[in-house]
Amino acid sequence: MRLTVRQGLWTGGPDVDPPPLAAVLEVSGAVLEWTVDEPDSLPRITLTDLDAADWLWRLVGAEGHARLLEADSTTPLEVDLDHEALAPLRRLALGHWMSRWWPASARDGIVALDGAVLGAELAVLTAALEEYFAEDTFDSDVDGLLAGLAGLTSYTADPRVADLLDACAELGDLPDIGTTPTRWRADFALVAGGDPRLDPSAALASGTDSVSWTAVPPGVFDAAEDTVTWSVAMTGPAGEGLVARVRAALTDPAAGHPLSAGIRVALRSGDVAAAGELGADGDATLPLALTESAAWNHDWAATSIRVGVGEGETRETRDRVRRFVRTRLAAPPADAFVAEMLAADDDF
Amino acid sequence: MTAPARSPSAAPSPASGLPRRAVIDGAWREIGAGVEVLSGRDGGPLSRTVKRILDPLVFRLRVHPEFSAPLLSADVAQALHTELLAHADTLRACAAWFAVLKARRRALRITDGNAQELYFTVCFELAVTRGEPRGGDTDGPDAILREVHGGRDTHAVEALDALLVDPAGLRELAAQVERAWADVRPAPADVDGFLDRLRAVHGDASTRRERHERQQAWSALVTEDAPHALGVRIRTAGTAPWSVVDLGLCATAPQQRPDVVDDRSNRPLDRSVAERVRATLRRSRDRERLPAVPELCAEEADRACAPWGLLAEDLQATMVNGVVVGVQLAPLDTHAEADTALVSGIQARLRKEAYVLHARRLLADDQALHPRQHHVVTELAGFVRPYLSRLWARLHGRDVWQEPCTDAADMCALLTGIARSVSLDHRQQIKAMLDPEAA
Repeated sequence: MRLTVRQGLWTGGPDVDPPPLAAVLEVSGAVLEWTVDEPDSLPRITLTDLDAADWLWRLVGAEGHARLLEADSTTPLEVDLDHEALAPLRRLALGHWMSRWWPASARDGIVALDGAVLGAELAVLTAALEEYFAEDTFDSDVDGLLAGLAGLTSYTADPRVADLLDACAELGDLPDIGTTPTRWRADFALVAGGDPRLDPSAALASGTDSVSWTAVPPGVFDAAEDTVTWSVAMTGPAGEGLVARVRAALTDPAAGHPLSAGIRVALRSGDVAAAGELGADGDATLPLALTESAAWNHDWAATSIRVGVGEGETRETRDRVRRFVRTRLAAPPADAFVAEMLAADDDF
Repeated sequence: MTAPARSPSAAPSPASGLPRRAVIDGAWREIGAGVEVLSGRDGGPLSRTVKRILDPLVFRLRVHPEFSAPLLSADVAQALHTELLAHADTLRACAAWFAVLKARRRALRITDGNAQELYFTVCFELAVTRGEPRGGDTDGPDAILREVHGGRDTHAVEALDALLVDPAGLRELAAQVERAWADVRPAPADVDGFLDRLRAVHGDASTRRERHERQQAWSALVTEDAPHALGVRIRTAGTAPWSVVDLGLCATAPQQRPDVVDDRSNRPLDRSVAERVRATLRRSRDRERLPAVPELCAEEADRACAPWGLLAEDLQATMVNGVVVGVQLAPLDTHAEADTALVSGIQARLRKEAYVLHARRLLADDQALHPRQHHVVTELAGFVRPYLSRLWARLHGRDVWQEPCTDAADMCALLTGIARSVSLDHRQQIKAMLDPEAA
């Protein structure tokens, strides 16, 4: 791999696709990135602090590491990477990725991962790679991962989970497992997703749109496409106000989600625009500054609903992620996470 | 964009040394059996073993700074290797002590703190003073654990509280603050020249020659009058290049004389003399090295009135340097432009760390993903305030302990390290805001 200094930081490796396709890991003095569905690719390495990256010799050899420490920042440097040493780092990055981007969906039939089980495995992996975390980083917090075990409510009898818990007990002090009832669970399994479409008969116009994953927090929404339904109608007994009603399908439509409340939602349809916030049940009512007759004359075909913040990613990108996890669920690879195997079991 | 390569295909010149950690790893493995609890799975020492035991107690980096370089020459590597193996017996005893303390910790159901963090140093001391632990003895280890986990020495805090209700003592301190504040007067200084010359220590320092030049520049800068003069200017409206409010150092501008007991605000330079002493007592692990409380208060009264609340000139210079760096840092701003290698390096690092949040679905690009995060994200945009608060606290500690910041590499590492810890702290808050359980 060729390393060059860009903006003051040694950088090397292939370009990585942007989120949600990037699996990243922050180790002491460096950020490592991989494109999630390219298992054989080399990582993109960005050295944020060369002195803090005292593990580099494990990846590039003592010679390579020493040359890098002495290198002149204007000259690129070639190093050989140890693929075996990279494998567990990539796996840890992938696990972190799964905890945030796994596209759980009742509609798509993609079973959610148990967050507590995944967290336990990440804690064990992190501790096993402690030489890469000499300095505290965003990903070095084993105790924080162990604290997540308080939310472990199911699977406790599974021998694979029991093994994980034993390994965790070696790492530190575990919380009382399964005694704190969680008010909310990300791992809501296949709840029958009743179609919450609004009554189309009363509407002037209606349609669907999709949630961009990068625009919203994880665990809140069903990750399928076309889960946002909208309709435009008059409200009030005398039909005095024109509104757009929007509903976004949540991971758990029955219980709502504490993070759903306050998420921004915006409607755009030609020169008509409206904005508001979702409630805890995933619903929003956006007032439209339009008369009824103007609304009848408006062409609603090109209406788009944006949930959350920012530009978001394309449907093709999301499909790539779905393909990736479906392939893993259908045939769990040798290094599959326990949480994945549990999800694959549940799939049948 | 590629860097101007000399000849990328040329054979790499052999390195002139070995990475420090690789040397330590190799030597550690030669100790053989008996140190497993201090080792990782692959047989090398744990990072905490290096940080808490080897660096301070075996290699004694304060006495042997040559052992601390990231790249060690063959001679130094050999010396380090010898030093480590000379301590093999002690390290084995240290490991045995740790196993004992860890077992007793479990038996006593102690969950406070991290066992390695808390016990490693203690275990090494025990190994030196008592050798191997005696089998079956639980009273001894239990007493040690009680000592480690026992209440902190509250004596000094009580002495401070007593002083603060003694009217005569308070009057004396108040009079001293008044005198000391009035004693700090404006004096002519080449402030613009100083700020310009600072850029020299922010330059690229990857070669030995550049590092040498940087050190010379910094050695000259720490003796200049400008940091003192700037510290006086922030007390007079409209004369400083920055507003102490924007910098987060005071709640209102200009800086006011600190009070003995009452904090004007929680901003660093608004804190009372008593609060500064309290912070010193909180942070001090080794109180025996501190002067008695009345002297500590008298010294702090002078310090609180000194420019930037710091007595040492090199620390005042470092503070000004931190201001110059801090105002340029903006983790969420892709367009922020830094004018020097040091600052653009820190900024690039902060950008990368902010990207990790986006990749982990904690930020939408550079914005809050959820209204709950707005507060912290706004704070991240105003990075300079927490940056300087933390830097000031660190420099205050150095001033109390009379630890200089005259080494240019040390100064740069400090300015970089503060950015890292503020960024990590911020990012953990941003993450916590998205924890549904924390509603």
